[in-house]
Amino acid sequence: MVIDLARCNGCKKCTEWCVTEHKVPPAWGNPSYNGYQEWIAVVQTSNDPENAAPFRPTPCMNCMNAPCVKVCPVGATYYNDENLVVVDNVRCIGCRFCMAACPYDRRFFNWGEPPHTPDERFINYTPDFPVLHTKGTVEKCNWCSHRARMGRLPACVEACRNEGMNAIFFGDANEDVITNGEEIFSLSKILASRGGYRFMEELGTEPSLYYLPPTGK
Amino acid sequence: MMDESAATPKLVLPLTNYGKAYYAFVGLLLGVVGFGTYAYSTQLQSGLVVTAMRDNVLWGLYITNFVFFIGISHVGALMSAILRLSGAEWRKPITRMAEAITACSLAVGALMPIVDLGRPDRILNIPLYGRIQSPILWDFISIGTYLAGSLVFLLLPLIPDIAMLRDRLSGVSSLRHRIYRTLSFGWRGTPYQQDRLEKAIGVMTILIIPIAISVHTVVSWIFAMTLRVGWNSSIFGPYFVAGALLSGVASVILAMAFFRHFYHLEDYLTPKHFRNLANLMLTMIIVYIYFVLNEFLTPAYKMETAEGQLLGALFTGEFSALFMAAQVGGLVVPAILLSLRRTRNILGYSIASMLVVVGIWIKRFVIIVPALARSQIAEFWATYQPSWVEWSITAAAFAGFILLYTVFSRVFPIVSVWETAGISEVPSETASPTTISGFGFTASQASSVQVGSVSGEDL
Amino acid sequence: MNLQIRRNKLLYVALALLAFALILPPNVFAHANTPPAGASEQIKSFAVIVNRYGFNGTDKTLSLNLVQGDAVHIMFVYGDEDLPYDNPHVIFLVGYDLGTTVISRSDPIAALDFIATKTGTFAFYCLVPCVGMENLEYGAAVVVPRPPGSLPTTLDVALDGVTVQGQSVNMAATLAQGSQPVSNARVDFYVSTTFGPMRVGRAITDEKGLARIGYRFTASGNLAVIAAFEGTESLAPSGKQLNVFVEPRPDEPIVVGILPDAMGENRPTLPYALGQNQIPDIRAVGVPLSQSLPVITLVLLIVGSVWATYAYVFAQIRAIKRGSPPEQERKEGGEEKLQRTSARQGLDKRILVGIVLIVVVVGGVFAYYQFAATPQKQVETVEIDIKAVTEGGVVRHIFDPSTITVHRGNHIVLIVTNNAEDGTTHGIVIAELNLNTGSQRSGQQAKLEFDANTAGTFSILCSVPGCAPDHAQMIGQLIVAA
Repeated sequence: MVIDLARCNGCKKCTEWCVTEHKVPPAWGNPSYNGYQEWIAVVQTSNDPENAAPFRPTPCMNCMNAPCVKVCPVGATYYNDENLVVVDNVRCIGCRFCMAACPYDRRFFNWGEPPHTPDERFINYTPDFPVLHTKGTVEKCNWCSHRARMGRLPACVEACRNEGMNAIFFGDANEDVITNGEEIFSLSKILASRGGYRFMEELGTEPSLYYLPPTGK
Repeated sequence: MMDESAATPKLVLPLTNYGKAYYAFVGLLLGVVGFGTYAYSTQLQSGLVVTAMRDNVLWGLYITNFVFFIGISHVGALMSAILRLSGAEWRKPITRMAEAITACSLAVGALMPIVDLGRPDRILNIPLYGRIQSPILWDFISIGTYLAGSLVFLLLPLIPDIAMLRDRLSGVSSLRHRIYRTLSFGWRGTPYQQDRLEKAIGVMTILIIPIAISVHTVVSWIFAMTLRVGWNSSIFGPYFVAGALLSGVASVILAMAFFRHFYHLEDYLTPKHFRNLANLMLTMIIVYIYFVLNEFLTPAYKMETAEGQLLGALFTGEFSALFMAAQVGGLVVPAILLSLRRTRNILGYSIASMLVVVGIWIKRFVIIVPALARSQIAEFWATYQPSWVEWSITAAAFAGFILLYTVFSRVFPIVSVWETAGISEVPSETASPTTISGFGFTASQASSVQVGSVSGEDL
Repeated sequence: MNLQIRRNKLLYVALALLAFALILPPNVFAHANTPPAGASEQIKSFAVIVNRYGFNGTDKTLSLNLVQGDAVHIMFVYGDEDLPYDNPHVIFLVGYDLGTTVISRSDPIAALDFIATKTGTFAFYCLVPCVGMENLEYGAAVVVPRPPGSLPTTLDVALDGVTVQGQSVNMAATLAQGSQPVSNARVDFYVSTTFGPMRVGRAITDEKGLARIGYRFTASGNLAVIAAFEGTESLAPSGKQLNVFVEPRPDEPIVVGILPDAMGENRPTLPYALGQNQIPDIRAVGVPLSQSLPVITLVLLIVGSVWATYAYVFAQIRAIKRGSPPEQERKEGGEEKLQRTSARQGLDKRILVGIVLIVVVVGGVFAYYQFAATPQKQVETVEIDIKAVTEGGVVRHIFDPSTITVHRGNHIVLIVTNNAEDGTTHGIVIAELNLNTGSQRSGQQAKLEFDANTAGTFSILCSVPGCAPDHAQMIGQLIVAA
């Protein structure tokens, strides 16, 4: 995933669509979007009006050297066949070690029992689409891996395209291509030309998420 | 061959002489434990939302208690094993006290992470699907091993005493007598059995030391194996072990003072013992201060951004009161108390130990919570005010520990009888002049006795 | 005087006829500015008389109507020969900044040749002081924009180089307008991806209308290479698509290429309804057995030795419980006691060794099942040929064998060979499993590798529409037996 910081205007539509798509549980007092967990949190990094990119959407980084996968005692968080980090909430024991290990603070805990809608109960739980949420387990953004299997883009990407910002790109590193629903770019070329970087690269977690800094104009 | 055991009434008196104060004390402790259980039941029902932990400060009082109690449990290895190995004869009256603290605090400490789990009903997933790469699995293995080892280490020197109780203590319920009979393993004091016991104790003495060191090292790695600022430090292993030894010694001093006063064991727990342990504690305080300096001076010199923010919170920010209480009140003040001639008495030692114990508990809190509250991403900073559920369960943990320890001291002699044979008791005015129930000896008969000559004493 | 005027009029007519005669193929003007290649073929010629009364003898505005892209030839003819003296003129065209040579009695004809690229109204007038200069100010060349798309262009694209994933090829596009190559035009190159066509390069056509870029394929499978020309005001846009099959890297299985339109109706669908999880549970422990084995062994040794020592201690306790030899024997002789104790010690040692062995074996088995990689699947290799058989004079194309059975859970390797001797191009597609070999020319081979996770019967069809008249009848079956 690549996020173009120059294009994000902090509208938080990505968070809204994510919350709706996954029926995200409440945040129980944490920083939230209308009371729901912000699996993709749009963080305002600067109050300076001159700052060209004061907003940073922060989903899960899907690290290739993920500290959360390393420390889970029961193997409840693992890499699925698309190399995305997912959480199996049937096995999770709620020790929250993965949350302590994540340096980006991108995991959330169901401190209480989340509310359920009747139609949720007809969905068979899979780690790719973690609805029904249960009390005492860990949640996180999983890059909509259920959508990837259907050939669609993640909810946040489609939300940003819908709003016209087109700031979030999703793609395949092996094929070297990313798209935001409208434009298609070569991943390696756009990272090279725009100077794409990864957040807290020095920690060695090898995130799969790149940020594109704003170009000086 | 067992010689006739003469009176060591003070040591066995508590085993049968249950006064009103005892029952009241136990009742109080049971009450606290009961309330804690009720608090836990609300947590089981509604989930961890009843605590004050949230997505940022995701570990709080429960893990603080866990680290603290596992820390205290190191005293068994230090007191019994190291002192046994070094041939310090003065350690004999206090070894069992120390080993009992180990066993009881391990039992309570091992429960704390289970209380902290979001899904305790899935606890079996750990052995079933356990991943050896996870520090929690290392914890599981090492604490389990240490618990087994410390129970064995507690039991072994207890066997001759249990045999004595089995043979000579009357007026106890048949259940208790059966317990004594089972746990004495047919001890008769024969040289063959002594030989076996000697071998077993010798092996365990040597084995328990690396296990104990590994336990708290592994516990510290739960924090040190993450990338969090404040936890991402390579000296956490020895740092935590030093703190554990310090808190363990302090707890033994407290236990000694308690038993000396309430069980009238002045003959066995002399000021010399207190002095030696106090010197040991002073040494440990200095060692721990050395580690604290290492832990905070090095990042403070460099003032890397995220570390600098954490240090700011600790030294001048919202955690400064707790931090200073832990460091100054928990380390510097006790060190002073232990050094000044005026306070070098049992009362002074006890106060210093109490300060150390409380200070170490606060220190554990200060290691865990600020690093979570002040994570590297400034937008997610949070605060933490523990809820009544967490405080109740903490109180219940302490009460449970004290309860286990007190009941142990009332079922088994807290000072090893056969090892301290040779210490003559001064008749105490408080002892009843008539026959002490259960023993058939008057208090005036105080002749030294050899309860089985075990050459293992010189270990 | 009458005769003079009549002679002048004759001259006028002759010159006018000459001028009209000159609206002929431009080859006549070989010496003059040849309209550059690639421009429109429209050539507009004008003849304008320049005298002291104005352009064409009048001071009314002379508008020359041009269309952008025209090749313009304006011939100016000297019209002041009835003057007894020379009245030279030089005509200058504003905007294009073009000036004629001197138009005078001795050089009566001069011309302006240019391509009307700029649109607008451009004045032309006499530049040098002359008699009647004030009348020669009202010339105008009016250039209107060419209506778009009016000139059709053709674009052709070709690849040179081997189309293998990871290797560079040259993509070349040729842009022509009719039979004339278009130069200086911008051509974009696209390659199809999972998400649609992605622009991979841009080049300008040279004077032969050729634009080329180098490109290295990052994906493999059925891809489309597209060249596109946006069009200009005079030239219509055009494009061309070339379907290629990119060989995967030698050690990689075929990545199924999804043709453009991956987001539309033809996007692949899940083989199962969402929620019925048939995806195998991959708990990638992250460390293969070969790397973790030393660590596991070390851990097991340490922990195992501790528990083995415990076992020794338990053995001691058991010995205590069993009690000592009777007292008489003890009193009688140390030797017997020694024998008994040593016998017991021997037994204890054996117990100890036994327990250590059990610990190591159990631990090893546990570790193996924890850390073994995904259990080795069996690999089944199946060969399918596509053949052309003649039956009763009719050529039918078939799969041989037409029914393949494989076992669920195995890793299947399908080798497809196009052995149709009639030279037709075929391929295999198994839609339900998202498998497609693309197109194989006669004699070519393709390999499909997949894990047969779902049981069932799947249809094998030909992946090249229109390969042969009986394309729709090319059907086979793949049975995945549970």
